[in-house]
Amino acid sequence: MRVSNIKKNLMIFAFSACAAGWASQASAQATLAQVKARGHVNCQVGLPTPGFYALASDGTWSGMDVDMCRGVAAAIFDDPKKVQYQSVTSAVRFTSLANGESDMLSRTTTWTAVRDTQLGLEFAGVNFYDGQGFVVPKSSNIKSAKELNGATVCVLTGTTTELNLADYFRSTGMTFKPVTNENVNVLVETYLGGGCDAYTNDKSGLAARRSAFPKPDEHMILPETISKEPLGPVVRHGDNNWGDIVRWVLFGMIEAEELGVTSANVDEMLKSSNPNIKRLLGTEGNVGEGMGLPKDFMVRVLKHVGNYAETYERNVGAKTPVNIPRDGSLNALWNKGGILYPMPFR
Amino acid sequence: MDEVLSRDSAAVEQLPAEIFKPKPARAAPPSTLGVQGWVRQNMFSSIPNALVTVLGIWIVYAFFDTILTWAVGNAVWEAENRRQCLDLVGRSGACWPGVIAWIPNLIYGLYPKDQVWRINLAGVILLLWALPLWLPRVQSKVQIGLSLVLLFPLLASYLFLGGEKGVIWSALIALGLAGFLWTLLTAATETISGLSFGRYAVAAIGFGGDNDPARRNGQIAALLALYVVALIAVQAMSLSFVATRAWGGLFLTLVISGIGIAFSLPAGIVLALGRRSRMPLISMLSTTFIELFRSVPLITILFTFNTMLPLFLPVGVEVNQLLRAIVAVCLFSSAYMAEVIRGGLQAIPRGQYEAASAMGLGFWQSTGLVIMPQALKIMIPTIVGNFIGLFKDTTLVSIVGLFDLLSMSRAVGEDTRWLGLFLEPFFFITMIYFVVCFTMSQYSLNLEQRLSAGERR
Amino acid sequence: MTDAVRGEPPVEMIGVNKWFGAFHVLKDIDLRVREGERIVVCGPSGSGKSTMIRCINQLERHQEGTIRVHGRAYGRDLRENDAIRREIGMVFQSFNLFPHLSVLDNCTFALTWVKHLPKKEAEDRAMEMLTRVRIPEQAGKYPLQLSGGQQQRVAIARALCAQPKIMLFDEPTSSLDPEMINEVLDAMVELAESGMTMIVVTHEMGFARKVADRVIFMDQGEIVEEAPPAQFFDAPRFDRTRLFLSQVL
Repeated sequence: MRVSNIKKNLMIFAFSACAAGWASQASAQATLAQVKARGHVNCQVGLPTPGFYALASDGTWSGMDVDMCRGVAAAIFDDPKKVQYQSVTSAVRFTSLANGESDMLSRTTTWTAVRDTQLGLEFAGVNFYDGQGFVVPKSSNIKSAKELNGATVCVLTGTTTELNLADYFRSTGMTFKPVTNENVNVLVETYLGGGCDAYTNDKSGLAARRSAFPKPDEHMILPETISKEPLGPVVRHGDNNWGDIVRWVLFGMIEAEELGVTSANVDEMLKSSNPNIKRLLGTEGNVGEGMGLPKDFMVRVLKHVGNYAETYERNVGAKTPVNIPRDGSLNALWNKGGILYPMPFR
Repeated sequence: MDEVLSRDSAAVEQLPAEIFKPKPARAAPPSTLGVQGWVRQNMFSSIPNALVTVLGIWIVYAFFDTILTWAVGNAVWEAENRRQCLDLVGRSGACWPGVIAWIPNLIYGLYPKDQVWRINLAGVILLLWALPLWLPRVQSKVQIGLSLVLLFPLLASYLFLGGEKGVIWSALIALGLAGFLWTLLTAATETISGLSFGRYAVAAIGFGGDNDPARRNGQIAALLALYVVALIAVQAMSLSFVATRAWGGLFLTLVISGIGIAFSLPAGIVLALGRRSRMPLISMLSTTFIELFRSVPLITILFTFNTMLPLFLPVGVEVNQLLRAIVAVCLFSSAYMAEVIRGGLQAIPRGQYEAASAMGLGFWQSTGLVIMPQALKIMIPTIVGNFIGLFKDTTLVSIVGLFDLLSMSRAVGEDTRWLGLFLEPFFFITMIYFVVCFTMSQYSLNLEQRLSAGERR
Repeated sequence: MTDAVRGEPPVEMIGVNKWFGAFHVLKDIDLRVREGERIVVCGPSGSGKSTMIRCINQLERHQEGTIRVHGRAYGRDLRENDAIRREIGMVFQSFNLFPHLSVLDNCTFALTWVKHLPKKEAEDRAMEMLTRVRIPEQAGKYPLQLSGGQQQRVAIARALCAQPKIMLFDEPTSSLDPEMINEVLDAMVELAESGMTMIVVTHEMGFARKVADRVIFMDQGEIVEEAPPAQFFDAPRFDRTRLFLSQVL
């Protein structure tokens, strides 16, 4: 009697575990299935920002974060154009993700503890390590952020930038006067007009803005980086599979750079005997299938979007107006002095 | 006085009446007339006033001088990118090439450039449809106006949206097209002969002779024939689908405010009448609706519709974002309009209701024929003011991600070619807003003057 | 909707009581009007005379009693009430012309929207009535462009256009400048001489003496005295009537 009771309990337990697993599998597939049914990825970007999600006058989007979405679309549909870009203000960015309107956020969002734990969001990786800095006119003879005691500083309201600024001055025991606005261009005009001594933003933003100053050479970006701003794509809680897809598309692009695979030589690399390249491109192993993608999903991504180095050069590299130097920065590969470290593709 | 006269009337004899010669009117002194008189009286009537006038003139001059120097005097009209502008004139002059390059986006948003002709076509149709309202010989102005407000949106939404059309949708589009054709034909036939299209067609064919019912059937047949023609035309049309996400710029602003305006006036009338109704349920519902939507800022309503609605819908059901914004705007503006109209209704003296009642008119007849025309006439300035406000309030939809005129102007300054261009697009769209709003207010003044023709003694 | 029964009195008020809230404004009104009779109602202000005649076409609703017009009683059926009303024309103290319509359109209004006459016929009848009140040349003007006397005559023409069987006048000349009272009274006299059943609330005692078949005096919601004018003015029965006449004449 007892034995059969135990057996009965075990069976019930096993059955419900399967059911739960099946149910969670079903809902975990939900986003990928929805995206496939819909035929395009809903990618949320912010108000146009050069280098990351820039809007050209013919209506096309381009940038580091745009390439992230294009990569995901390429992986799923073999067509990087199957993306719908939703440009929303920061006020509604997280709610639009949580209520299902956007599938992913790719809009220079900083990975912080509060956002990760309390907003029902999941960060799928970091595609750009940024940090906050200052730009000052060279004529002010300020060479370091430590000389900014008592300065007026232009800063964007309602962002972590404002909070980091306050923290920095507090921790260094200096005082400052903030000059705030919610429009970047107004702030820049104020700074250029002499309304503040320094302008602070993420260094990538500073680089972009400075390139548009009337006389860029007369301004200097101070060497100090006063905060950590790891920027990356964001997905909803509750769909681990979708998060995995985004994460491994990003890792795949960085890994491709490490292995020397580019959009130009992908076809040749398919014949390579290097086991790492084989696993990356899907000729060996089945990383893709575990996520509901085809084996050669990275081939698709690399063909249409390229590896990390290519998107970097294309969007924020030396030949672009934004021009953020990569060598020696955090955004270099781990074996080149930076901290981009893709997890193994196996 | 009377007493004195009556006492003495017996004693005084009545002399023949003298003829009273009235004095002729003289011309007013020239220094009080005309421009000279006006200036003297209003601007230089005393030393302090004269000083203030001079100061005022100087301020106006300085203001316009600064603006015009920046916008016209030092401005750059041709350049490849902003760097060139800056190298030429720095920031002392406007860099217009950036705005000029983005004008198609500012007007049409991200609408595919090869499909923009559809928007232009809809604009032309709108103008042609509205034109008969100004022609003196046209008599069916009310019908044309109603068809414009009710049927044009059907035709226009197909032109803008494109895509597949099912049976019901095709029928509705054909209704819109038929309304347009009917308007053009009626305008033509009424200018020629004073008869609307249906009657003209019947008279021209000679159908039915003098038999009234037969003639009426003929008119109905003519209209049906027109509808069939429209249906065939619609079936032959095939337009590619353009998602509402691509709609933007001035086009989007006009769509949202146009629908808001067209909806808010009739909805406001219904709500105002509902609030004044003596049936408690209707009155309560109307009052609740009005007070609810008036107590909450438009941006909150937009947020709620935009953010909360998808949470309540089952997974996979998506309500178009533009539609959500339009619904929010319509509900908000009809609540405001309802109060404006209620104010107008209250201004009509009770005697008007009584006169209509005494003639045996029921509620709807007396409201529609006697009360409403008077109330609306009083309320024209406020109603048009509401419309102007609504047009400008559409900028709020940028918060929920729609690329209206204002957010498109900000996108100009983020284009890497024109990075930092911020004042020039802003100036440009300010001019656009000013022109549209000023036109509306001038039209309203014109309307008031025409309608008050009967009040000038 | 049967036609009015001939032989029934045009207006019959039986035991009519009305309250405005708690205020008892009409007390046990009994009135029977004969066909073609001209009645003048007078009394101090607040006596309920306006309220009484406004009950006759239900601009005010009575709470107790019966009001019959040519045999048809007012009841709960709103459409029946509207139908009864169409037999009655009313002229108001403040004219109540529709300012957004021309004089001609004011007159054709009821004909077009209630009787659904074609435009030509309606306009012909309107011109006929305007001629009757002697202002046909004002047909194209708007009410606010006319003098008070002219406006009131238009109001009379407008009421007559609908061919009512009974005409009610609620202090028609009280808002007019003295020079204009006569032109309106002349129109009313002409109307009376044509045989129209009329109930007129007025202070114009000269008119009453000349035209009325019966003069009714009301005070504090009751009919105090009713008599033919000769008897009313020369030998009033009640003290209140005598007091009133001494103040008015």
